[in-house]
Order: sequence, then structure tokens, then C-alpha cells
Amino acid sequence: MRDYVIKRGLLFIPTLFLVSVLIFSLMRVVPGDYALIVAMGGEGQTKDPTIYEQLRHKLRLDRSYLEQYADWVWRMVRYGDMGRSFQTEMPVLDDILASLPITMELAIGASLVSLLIALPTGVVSAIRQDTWADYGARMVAIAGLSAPGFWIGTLLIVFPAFLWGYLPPLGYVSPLQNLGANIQQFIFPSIALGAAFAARVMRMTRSQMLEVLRQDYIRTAWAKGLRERAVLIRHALKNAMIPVITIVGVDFGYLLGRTVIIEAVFVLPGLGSSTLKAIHLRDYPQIQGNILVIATLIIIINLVVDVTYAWFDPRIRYR
Amino acid sequence: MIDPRLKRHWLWLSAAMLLVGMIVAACAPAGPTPPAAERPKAAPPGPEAAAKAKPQYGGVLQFYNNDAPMNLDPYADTSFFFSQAFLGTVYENLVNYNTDVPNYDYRVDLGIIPWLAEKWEMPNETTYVFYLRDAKFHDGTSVTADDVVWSLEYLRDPKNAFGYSGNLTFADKITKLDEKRVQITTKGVAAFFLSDLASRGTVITPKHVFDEGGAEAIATKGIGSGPFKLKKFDRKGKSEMVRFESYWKVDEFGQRMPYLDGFQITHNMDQAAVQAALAARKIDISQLPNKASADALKRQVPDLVMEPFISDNSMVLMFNMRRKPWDDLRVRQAVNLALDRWEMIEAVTFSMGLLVAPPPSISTKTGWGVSQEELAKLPGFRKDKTEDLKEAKRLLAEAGYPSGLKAQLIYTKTWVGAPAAEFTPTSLARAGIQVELVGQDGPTNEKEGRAGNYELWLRVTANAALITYTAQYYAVNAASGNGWNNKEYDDLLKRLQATIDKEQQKKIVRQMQEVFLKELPSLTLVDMAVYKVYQPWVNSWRTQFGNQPTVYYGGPYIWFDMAKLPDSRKAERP
Repeated sequence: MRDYVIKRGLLFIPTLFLVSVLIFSLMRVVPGDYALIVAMGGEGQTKDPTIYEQLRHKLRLDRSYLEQYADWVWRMVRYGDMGRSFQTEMPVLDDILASLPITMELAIGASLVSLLIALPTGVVSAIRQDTWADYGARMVAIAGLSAPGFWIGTLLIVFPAFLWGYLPPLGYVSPLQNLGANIQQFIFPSIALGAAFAARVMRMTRSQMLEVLRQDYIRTAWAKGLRERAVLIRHALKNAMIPVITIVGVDFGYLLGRTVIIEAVFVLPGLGSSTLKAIHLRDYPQIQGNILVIATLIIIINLVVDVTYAWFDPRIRYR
Repeated sequence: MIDPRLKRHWLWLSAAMLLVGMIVAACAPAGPTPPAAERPKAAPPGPEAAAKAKPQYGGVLQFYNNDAPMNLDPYADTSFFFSQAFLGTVYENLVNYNTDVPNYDYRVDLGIIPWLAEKWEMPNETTYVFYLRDAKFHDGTSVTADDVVWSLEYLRDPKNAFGYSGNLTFADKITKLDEKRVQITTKGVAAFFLSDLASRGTVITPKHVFDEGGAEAIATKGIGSGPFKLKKFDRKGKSEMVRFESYWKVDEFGQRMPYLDGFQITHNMDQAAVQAALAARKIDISQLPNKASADALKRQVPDLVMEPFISDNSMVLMFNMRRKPWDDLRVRQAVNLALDRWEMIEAVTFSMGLLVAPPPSISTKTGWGVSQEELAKLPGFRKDKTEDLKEAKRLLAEAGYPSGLKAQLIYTKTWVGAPAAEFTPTSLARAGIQVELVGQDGPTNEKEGRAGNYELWLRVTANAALITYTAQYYAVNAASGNGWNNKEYDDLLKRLQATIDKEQQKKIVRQMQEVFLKELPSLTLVDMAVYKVYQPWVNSWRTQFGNQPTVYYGGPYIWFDMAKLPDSRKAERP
């Protein structure tokens, strides 16, 4: 196991290097840059066409791509400096440290929602296979998978407002400021984001439960006269949960990258919406920093899930 | 083989789903009302019902924007909507558009009034002397000539590369005469210089803040002289402003402005959340892009006040005259004739838009250049397209395209002009012109346009208050020029910028439009109508005539009828 973890750790560096090259190049391929956006200005359009060149020089966008990339990587590695956002002129890391907790809170909320929905329905669906309870649960699962999260989110905002005049608190409120308002803010977006994942987890739970329920040791447990609750929870569910935990862990990593739309609908200034805005504005330092952080988190989460999986299931051995 | 029990179950299940679907469809609310068969004119802004009522103090205005300002620096922002929308109440200009008159459309005659400068004199046509009033910054220090000189020099310093520096293109020397007087000379006669000084970005900030903390202090402290001072800036959540108790402006009743206790702006709001917030009375002002959305919201929340107005955004179809066949006047004329602008007004603006005369123009202006009535009689602009389409096909055949031609049109998918672009292929197909649409995001579209990588380019241009603004797209040195270099037009533009007499300006505008209509380097299409939307307790909100709600010009004037404010909001404090 130790060797496995070290091997995975060593792979971390080339993976991140590849991700950095990819982000850097992809953003340069997309036409337009931040200087152009300022120069084109919208309603405040400049009359002076030299602004574009001056700004490119100020932002050091007139250097070669290789120079820009090398400078960025060197600063990060040497000084831990991810650069400054073109738009805010504030350190990129500051923005990430402010946005990441919001995205994490949303991802955790969505995971909890998905587990709260998926586990009971998955278990019921398995033990009541081919009954209306099973069909109903599977229908809801498919609906959850099919319905876009932003649509569910929009309905959750619009209907309570129009019917009861209720709206969750506007503008992000940190849990340290007001825990009640924070919870109110995150319930609906967690449901919107968690619904699709609940469907996946529910189907995985169901299929694992069905497989486990057919095992000999479960038949033995029934034969011994154990109560249904003991058989299902103590014996079946515990074993069925192992692959489910893997799914939930891996999904958590992907959730981090999928919060963009939900953050926009619910006015949550997380990493997803920060990245989206940065892409619109061609704010290269911000985009590069955000994507690199998300990639790092996903790599770490995947490693943790793999290690946890081996810990849960002693039959698994990594080399 | 499928289990027969399963087959039976699935049949029942499918039947149940069909029934549920039919019930849901039957219960769904009706769609928006289709536009009226008769094409109404765009309604002017509604009357100011509470113009004579004495404004009340109190209340916290709640509104929003779709993004957050990058920081509190008024000179360096990338987009008006996201910073000036509320920073306009923190910082002020030397002069302002005439917002003292309720519902005044400053675009019509560009009326300028004193603001931080309580008066100005012009000893000659190229010299302005501004007399500063006794105004204070939010930190209690006085606004002095040093602050004015420093602010304007800082704005136009090429090292800073500020987007708004173009507002001072015509400024020559900026000099302090004494503590309360500043002299600005211009490079030649600059007829619209006062408009430039009234424009966004040309604001006065305290020099001592920069001296103490540099550009970072300007970007983080947000100290101005405006009616509201910054209490909290959180670009991730909500920003808050409070009434500036020492604000200089006093109303006709002798009451010191502003009237509101403050306002809160929620950043990053999605449009669905905005509509929900209006319904839940959590937001006080908004704007809607068209009649369909206004009608839909009105049905849900009947007591919201809605007023349409013609926005600043005109749609223009630009030809790349550096490429064939767009360098051929006959082809451009054919496209002009084929395009059905009246159908576009109906389909895209829900019958609420106006025709746009060639630049320089503002469609709400009357007495300047080609009028709406004259335009509506011109080939290409008239309602009856029978003769226009015949002539368009004849011109294409004469130019060597008897079977029509293909063209690519680039446009910004996410901007207000997208529906007009998407309408264009239908219209032009009637003359045999097959248009392929290429939707792009804003920066890509601008880059491709400037690089000349297009055949047709649909743009949304802001006419705003600078009558010469759009015309500069076509000047010889225009950064986003399309290859049209017309010396006569350029000379007229320079003359316009140097002519102070309004009657002479009108004549020059007319001449410029006639040159444009003859040469057709691009086609002016339609102006959109948008809706101001506000709660019944809001009074005296002046809008910016753009597409986003702002309090840029309205800050000091807005007041609440406290009797109509919901009880749950009465205790709000900034």
C-alpha cells in the first residue's frame, strides 16, 4: 500500500504539468484577450486605438507564449505566486481561497443530499424488487438523471417566490456570519446539484444490494432467524456500500467541476462561477490558477478514494 | 424472453405517464400574448407621477447586477454595467447630464448641468474654467482643484492604459488656477467636450488617497464625493452603501439629498433569480429586455410598474469592404433592399423598436438628420418590400450574381443583437442571399471583427450621449474599421466635432447621413425597446437608457413611499 501511494504521488507532478500546459495552450488558442475586452469597452469605448497595445504591454501579453508560460510556472514553483488577476489585480490565490470553500460547501451539501435520497431508495428498491416501490424509485432516478440541474434549480427559486413570496437570502452569507442563513442558502442548490448524483448512487446501491442479497451468507442469516433489519443493515448494506463509497468519492471530485451553473442560478460566488467569468474575460492568471486547483483536488480525492477502498475491503491489495 | 408480468406492468406504467403528462400540459399557464397586429410606435417613458410630491426620507434600495465590479477603481473597470452601475453614486464628475428633470432623455439634446463644478466659463472656444463648489469627499476632506487636476491627469496617463482615457482625447492642458478653479484647454474646438466630462469614468477622486496608498488605495477604499458612501464591498456577495450626510445637493424643498438610507446591491444575480426576487419583493428595480418578458412578469406580479423606453443599443450590419463582393456598391444596396426592418421590429423587438438612421444618430432625437418618417419612405427601410426585392435581385444579377450568393455573418451569441442576427437569414433569403450564421462569444467576435475575418458582422453599437460615437467606427483610423475610407465623411465628422452651434451641427449630421446612405458601408437596423421595472413604492428612478438597471444617474433622486413599502422591509438598515 505504501509503495502504491508513493507511486501515485510521483505521478501527481507530471499530471499537473500536463494539465498546466493544456490550460495555458487552450486559453491562448481561443481568440481575444483581456486587453481587447478593455479596449472594446462596451459602452465606455475608448476613442484611442493605442490603448489595446499599451494594455497588452502592461499585462505582459506581448511576450512570447513560451516566456509567459515559463514565467508563470517559475513564479508558482519558486514563490507560490499564482499571479494577479487581470480583472481585479488581486492575487489569484486570494480569490481561490475565498471561492473554494463555497464550492466545497456546495459539493458536500450535494453529496449529503444525494446520499440521503439514494441510500434509502436504493435499499427499498432492492428489497422490494419488481414492485411498485421499485418501479417508482427507478422512475424517479431516471428523472433525476435526465432533468438538467439548472432547470431544477430555477424551479426551486422561482416557484416559492411566486407562490409564497419566499426567496433564500440573496448574496452569499458565510456560516461564521449567520449559520441559519447559510443553511437556507445552500439547501436548494444542494438539492438541485445532488438530484442527478442521487440517481447514480441509488442505482449503484440497488444493484449492489441485489447482488449481496443473493449471497450465501445472507441466506444463512435468514436461516438463523435474524430480523430483517439486522440482515439488511448489519450484513447486506455494509458489504454493498463498498463500491457505493467509491462512486460517491469519485463523484465528489467531479462535483467540484460541475457547480458552475448552480452557482450562477443561486448567486453563489464559488470557484465554478469565478472560472466561468474569468474565461469570458480571458483572465488568464485566474483561469489557470482555478483549473490547476480543481485538477489538484480531483487527483487527491481519487487517491484518497482508492486508499479508502482498500481499507474498507481487505481483499483489495495494491502493488 | 420478457417476463409477461413485467410487460403488463410497463404497459400500465406507460399509460400512467401519458395521463400525467396530459394533466400537466393542461394545467400549464398560457404563453406570452402575441404582439399586436398593428405595429405601435415605441412608447415614450411614462409620466413622472410623483414629480411634485415631496420626497420622503428612509428605506434601503435593493438591487443587483449580473456580475461584480473588479474593484473600486472608477477608471480601470472593464464594463460599465458591473461597476459604474453603483459606483456612479460614489464618485462624481465635474458636470453631469441634466438628470434634474424627471424622465429626461439626455440623449436628445445632451443638456449638461453643473455638478461638482457649480459653474463654468468659456473665455474662448477652446478654454473652459470650472468653479468648484464646496463639496466634500466621504472622508471629510474638501474637493479641491488639486484633486481635479490629479484625477484627470491620472485618467489620461498613457502608462495606466485606462479604457476611459478616450474621454479626454480633446483635452490639452489641465491647470489649477487656485484652490477652487481649474482651467482646461482643448485641442481645437471640441463641441462635445462637456459630454466627455459628464461621461462615465471622468470622475474626481481624492489625490491624497493615491499619495498615501497608490493605485491599490484607489481600488480598495472607494472614497468619492457622491450621495452614497461605501460601507461594504464584497464582490462575492453584497455591497452596501449608506447615505452621505454631508452631500452637497439640496432639492427644491430645501431637503438635503439623498433620501434613501442606503442601498444594497447583490452581485452575480442570474435572471431567473432576479424575477423571483421581484416577485418576492426583495429587489426594488430591474430592467427587462423586451415586451414578452415584461408581459409575462406583469401577469405574475400585476402591481409592478413597467415603463418602456428605447435603449441605447442600435443594431448595425457591417460589410467587410476589403473582401469581394462587399466592395461592390450594388451588392450592398441589394442587401439593404432585401432586409425587412419592419419585420425585424415586429419579430425581434415585439413591435416596440424604432428604425435607426445612419450614424451619427440617436433614434429618439427629432430634428436631427433623417427623421423616422423620412426613413420609413426610403428604399430598404419602407414597409412594402415588393419593389425592393425586385430591385435587389436585379442589382445582384447586374453585379454578376443572378442566382444569388452566400455570405457568412458573425455575431455575439450572448448579446442583445443575437435575435436580430438570427432573423437576418430569413429576410435575405427572399432575395437569394443565403446567410450562414457564426455565433461567437464577445471577445472572439471583437477579435475576428478587428482582424477582418468576416464577410458580414452584426454589431450592437451604443449611441448613448456621444453623437459622434458611432460615427467613429467609420473614421479613417477606426480600430474596428471595415475598409470604408471616405474623406468627405471624415471631414464632416471633424467639422461636427468642432462646431458648437446646434443648428450647424444638425446640418452636418444630415450631410453625414446622406453620404452614408449613398455608400452604405454598413446597414443600420433597429433600436430596441427595453422596460424599466420597479416596485410601486419606488419614485424618481432615472435609468441609464442601457440594458441594465443602474442608479448611476439616479442615486440622489430615488425615494420610497414608505406607506407602500412592505412592513418586513421597513426595518431595513444598510
